[in-house]
Amino acid sequence: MSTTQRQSSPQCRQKTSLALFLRRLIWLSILPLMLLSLWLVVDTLRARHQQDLRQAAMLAGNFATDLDQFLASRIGALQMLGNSPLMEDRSRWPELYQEARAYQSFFGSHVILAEIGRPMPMLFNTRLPLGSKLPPLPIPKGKAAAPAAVASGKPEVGDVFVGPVSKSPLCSIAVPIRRGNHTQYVLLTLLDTTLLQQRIDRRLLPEGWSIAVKDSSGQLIVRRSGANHQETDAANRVVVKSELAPWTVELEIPKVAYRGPWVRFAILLVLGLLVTTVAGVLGGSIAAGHLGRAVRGLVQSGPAPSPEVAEIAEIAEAREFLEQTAAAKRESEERQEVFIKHAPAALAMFDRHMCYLHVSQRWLRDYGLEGRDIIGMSHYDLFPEITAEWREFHQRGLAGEVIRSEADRFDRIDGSVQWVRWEIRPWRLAGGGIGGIVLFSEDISDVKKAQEEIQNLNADLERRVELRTAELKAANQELDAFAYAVSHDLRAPLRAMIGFSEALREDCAAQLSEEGLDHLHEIQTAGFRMGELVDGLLVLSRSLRGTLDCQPVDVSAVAQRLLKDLERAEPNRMVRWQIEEGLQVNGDPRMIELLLTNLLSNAWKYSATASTPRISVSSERRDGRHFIMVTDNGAGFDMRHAQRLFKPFQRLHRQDEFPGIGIGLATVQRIVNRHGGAIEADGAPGKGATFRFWLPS
Amino acid sequence: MAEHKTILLVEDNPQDEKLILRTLNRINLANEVFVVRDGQQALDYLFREGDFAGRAGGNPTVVMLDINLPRVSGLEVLERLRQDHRTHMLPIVILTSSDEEQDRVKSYQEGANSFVRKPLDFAEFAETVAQLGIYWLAVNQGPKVEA
Repeated sequence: MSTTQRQSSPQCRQKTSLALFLRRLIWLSILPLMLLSLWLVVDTLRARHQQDLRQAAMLAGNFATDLDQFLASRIGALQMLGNSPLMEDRSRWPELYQEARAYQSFFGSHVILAEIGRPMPMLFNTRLPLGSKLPPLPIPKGKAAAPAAVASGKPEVGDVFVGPVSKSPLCSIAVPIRRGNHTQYVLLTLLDTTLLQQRIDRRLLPEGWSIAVKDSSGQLIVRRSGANHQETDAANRVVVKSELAPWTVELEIPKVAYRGPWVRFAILLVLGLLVTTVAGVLGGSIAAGHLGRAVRGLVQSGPAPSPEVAEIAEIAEAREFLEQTAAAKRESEERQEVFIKHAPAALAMFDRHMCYLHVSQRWLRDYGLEGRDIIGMSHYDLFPEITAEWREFHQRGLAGEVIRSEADRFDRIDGSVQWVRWEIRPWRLAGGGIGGIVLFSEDISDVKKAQEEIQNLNADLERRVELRTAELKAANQELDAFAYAVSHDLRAPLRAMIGFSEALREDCAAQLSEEGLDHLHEIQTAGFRMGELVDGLLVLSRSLRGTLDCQPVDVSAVAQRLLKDLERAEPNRMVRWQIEEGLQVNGDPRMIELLLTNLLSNAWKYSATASTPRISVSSERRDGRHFIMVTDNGAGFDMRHAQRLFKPFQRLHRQDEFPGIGIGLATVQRIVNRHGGAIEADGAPGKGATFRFWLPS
Repeated sequence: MAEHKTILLVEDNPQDEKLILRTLNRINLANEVFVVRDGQQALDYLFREGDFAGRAGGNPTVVMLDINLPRVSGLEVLERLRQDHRTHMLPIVILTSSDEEQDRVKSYQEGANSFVRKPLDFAEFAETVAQLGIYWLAVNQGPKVEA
């Protein structure tokens, strides 16, 4: 029951299908290629056009030169004829005529000699025998060679005209013949254009091209044209002027000839593009289909695609990654499921509409839903009786608030009281929005009960402690009162015993026997002994009373003062003592002094038997503790009786050996104990004793 | 003697009283001693109340006061005497079996002039009492006491 939430990204971008994307990519890849080929075609065509034009210019130039040579040879021949001496002498003109006939036969065109005038009388024409009646020289329209030659005084070539006799197109070449300073005659030759046509026809021309010679008025003289020549169809024309004649040589490349390669290229290009595009689009479609299927296969769960198609490495990696992710997700979901389902607390996860997403078994049990599949069902449908207060809590949770209560009391209909700890916590979608809430509740009635019991027990314990403390206080007060009473009430009778014994001795000594006096003495001794015991008891009880006022105490200084006091009290005792510098403990100064007094007095007292009595106060570090040691080399004690040492009124020596009441070490131990420290004794009979104590710092 | 000097002994223990009187007798001061047996009697005597209403004579020269007394304790007697203008300067010697520090401190706080512990040794005890008697009656110059 995985509920995958897909959240569209806030900036929703237009989505493009993989196929469309690939098609665009292919088009984009082909486009520069197309542009490049187009440019290549245009460039090639332009180059070819240039080449054509160059060739055309060369051909036209060549032909113009050829034409000029053709004309120049005739002009030269006419000039030779004109310059002939036969010209000078009219009588020799028949010879001249003959030479002109020779010219005619050589060049194939008639020669006319005309005299300058208006009109120009023809002197002879090789077409007709010499002496024939000749009309004046007809002057054709357009540029006429003869008048031009007369005007310029140079040989001239005229425009084309139709011969009056031959009725065929002719061109005239006129050479002026000068006599003296002016032109007197004009030699003309009439050129049949068929001669020119023969020359032009001999030229080699690329197919379709045409070449033409036109006169100054644009009248066509000769032409050679391509197969399907149409006048208006000239795409390119090269015009070269003749140097000798007012003619132009025009070479035309017709559009058809020029368009041919264009069309061929265009067809090739279109075909190529078509093939490329079809191939690209087909390939793109196949690739897109393949890729699309592969990519779609990634998001669709299911087995890997059939292995006959080679899989793309990246796609395979992505698939592997996705499969791992999906497996991890499944595992995580399963774990979560197990985690929630078997949580030992009532736990339920809701969506925004308070419909169940996950639920723990404990929840089902606590709310009487065992055995029902409630996933997807509304909480409010299941429990219409839910109060408005709780609905508001849910809404607050859905608004992002975390609401909890450590202990809420619920009074059940059956009269029982249930304590519940609960928490409402929103859960968020990957995008950050609140997806719903998690409800947690735990029946803590038992815990609460236990807590109450503990509280009751604690209260009871406190009460008992208070009671015991009060009892102890009372006992202490009683002890105080007792000690007080002892000090007063036990001492008073003692004082009376001692006092009246003394009074008896003073007043009635004469009446008493020696033995009676001795008895009196014993009574007094016993009284004093009793007094000492009473005082000892008092000291002991005092060592346990009062509050401790702990502060650092300079043990070295106190010990030195006490030993000096002892020295002063018994100046005849020679005791060598030694005190380590800087010894310090933390304790109640009065009690520490009492402690040291007792230890040092003992050491002083018991070292009396030693030949050279020695007392030392030093320190020792052991088990992380700082011990202070009081050592003497006196009577010592038997370690077997060590435990008796610290008991009150217990003595290890007879009264006649060392006087005392056995209260000193008992007091010392009580003081050490009150401080929370410890004391130990070490010794051997005749070898002295060492007392070590440590107090907490 | 221009002025009659007396001691008021407040002592509940008859044996101690006897021993004290015996000692004072030795130095001829016994006649000057008036003994009362408890705190109340002491107060009555000094304030001339109860059994002692209208008694003759003025204040004693010195009061020897035990602490542990029946009815009204010695320290309470001391406190009341110090609060009353008739007795607030009256020399008072605490004479007790106790050597409790708290008793000693308290006594001085309440205005005792002296604190003496009764020794067990009879000779010592006698010596102490004799010294006290002589000191307070003969040596010490007390304040002017109004009748």
